[in-house]
Amino acid sequence: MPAELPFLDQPLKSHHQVIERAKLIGRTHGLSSVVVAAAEEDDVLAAMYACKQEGISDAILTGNPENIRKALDLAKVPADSFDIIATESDQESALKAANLAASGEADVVMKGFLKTSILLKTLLKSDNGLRDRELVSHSALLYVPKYGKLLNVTDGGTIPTPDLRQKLVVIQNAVRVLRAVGVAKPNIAVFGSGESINDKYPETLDAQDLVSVAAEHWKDEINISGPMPLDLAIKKPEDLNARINDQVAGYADILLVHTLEQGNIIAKTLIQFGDAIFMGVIAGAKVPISLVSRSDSMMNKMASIALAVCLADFQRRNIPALPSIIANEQEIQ
Amino acid sequence: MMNTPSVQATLDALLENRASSKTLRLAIAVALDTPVGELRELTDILAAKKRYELHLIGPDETIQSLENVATLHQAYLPEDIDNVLGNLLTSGGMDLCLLLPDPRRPEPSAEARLTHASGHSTLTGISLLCPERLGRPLLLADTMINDRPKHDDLESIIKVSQSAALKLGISNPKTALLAAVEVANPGLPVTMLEAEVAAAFANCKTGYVQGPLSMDLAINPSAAKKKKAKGEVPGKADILVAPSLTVARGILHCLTFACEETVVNVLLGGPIPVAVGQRGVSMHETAMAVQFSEIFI
Repeated sequence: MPAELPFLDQPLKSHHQVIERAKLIGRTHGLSSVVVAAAEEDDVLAAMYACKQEGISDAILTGNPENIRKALDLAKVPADSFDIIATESDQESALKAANLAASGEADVVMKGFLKTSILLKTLLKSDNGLRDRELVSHSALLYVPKYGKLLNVTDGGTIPTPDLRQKLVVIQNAVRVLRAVGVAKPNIAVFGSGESINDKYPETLDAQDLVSVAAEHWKDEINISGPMPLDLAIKKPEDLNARINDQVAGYADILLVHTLEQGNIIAKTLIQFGDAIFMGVIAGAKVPISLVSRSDSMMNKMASIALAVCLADFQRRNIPALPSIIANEQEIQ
Repeated sequence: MMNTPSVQATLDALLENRASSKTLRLAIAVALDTPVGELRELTDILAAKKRYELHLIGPDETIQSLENVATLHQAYLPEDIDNVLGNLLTSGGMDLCLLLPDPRRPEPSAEARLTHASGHSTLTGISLLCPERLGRPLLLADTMINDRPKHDDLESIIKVSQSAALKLGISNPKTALLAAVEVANPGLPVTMLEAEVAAAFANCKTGYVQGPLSMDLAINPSAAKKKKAKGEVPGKADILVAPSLTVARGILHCLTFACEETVVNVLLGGPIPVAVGQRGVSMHETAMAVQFSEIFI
């Protein structure tokens, strides 16, 4: 049994550090195993191969073996690089991935050439054993060079318009992701177009309610503030000539958005215009679920997989993230 | 990187072509907390351009020490500033207006006050940037007024944006209606609305309108190619229309503070074009917003 890797006592500040941490986990505990559901996707296979070469993770592939071999060929990946488990449908691929993760043979599930909805539905069916006690949600962890630290924009990927109860679980999942990269007490900015509460803008009222509940229950674990516009979340008030005394302002670790399109568009703006490196993961299940897009760069894909490896390592340690404040969480998925 | 003209160079080139000897009357709404030093810097920059006659509205202690100013309208409370500004705008006494950010009125209400001041309710906020990586100017709307635009609002925002693009010399502007995905989906109502609005512009002669489109597909040619996106707009958008004010302002703040792009803002649809300053940006950029607004006289 290898010695336990000490947990992070300082926050990771960039995607490079996330990748290095994943490599260290691999060197200490052996390479994390990523099961790719429906692996007939050359782009994903190229990323998995790069991760194996870099010492970030290994992979198990599920899907149609003939199509997987064609995709490996297209990706210029040697045919014998990974174990392949033959399946006959997307559902079966997802189910096989769920079984491998539930049995502990895989540490991370990755989406291949199948619909996200099929993958999530199969993974989270209670008899597949991957449903944790929480709702799953997407975290876009971004390294924004001009911000100089990691920013988790959530949820821009799974829940179109989360209600208050769902947002509380989104916070729990987002905090878990940040704990996995060493952020002990995250600063959470609840997004708004401005910082004032205004009846004309319902999101500002939602933000006020959310901040009130979360701050009351998690005052020792997080700092939360909102509604907060993005300029104030990432720039110090004095740089904006804003007379605000707020410990989150200028130092946000999490930007909690109100709709899927807000999160998606903000994250993509930072990527397209700000050279941000994107690390995407779905948190809240018993193992991290990794999704990469065809249009992601290879660095983005590798960093996303590295983040999932770090999150899997964190979850394996059973370090508590945020205590639940919601009864019957499973009803809200 | 492409050799893209900066916002300043783009505006200078446009204004040079339409230079006239007429002095433009510019009303500037000053906020209580606007630092005098910054205001002096701004008025000096504007005066040096020798195109503007400056009329300041604001607290006496802030504006009285300034030079290069034609008239001073003392007003202290935000509503008093609104009233003076409203009178100036609707009386026809001004050619341009500049709103400086007022910390007493946290955004976005700072911009929305113009609706109140001018009595117009169909205003649209347009922002201009010239990202080096795109190699062309880019417009973003609506960054100031419409919280959750409905069908008619979106049509209006698109038409105002197209008209702004034409003024910038962009022929057949390509408009992307931004969303999280590219396929209309009842689970994401914004995408259904955008698909409807895009369909309404199918025979538009002014330019191309396509939506829903994600940000990467809208502006990144290689993402558009990888995802096999069809149409005139993917990868080549000149105008980005956001699905809500919150998203638009989020993009604006990303561009300004996380991407360090120069972005200038103007409100269109009122009696005169109104330049809008942004907190945390330099006075040179604020002066550029005035130049941007001048294009729409």
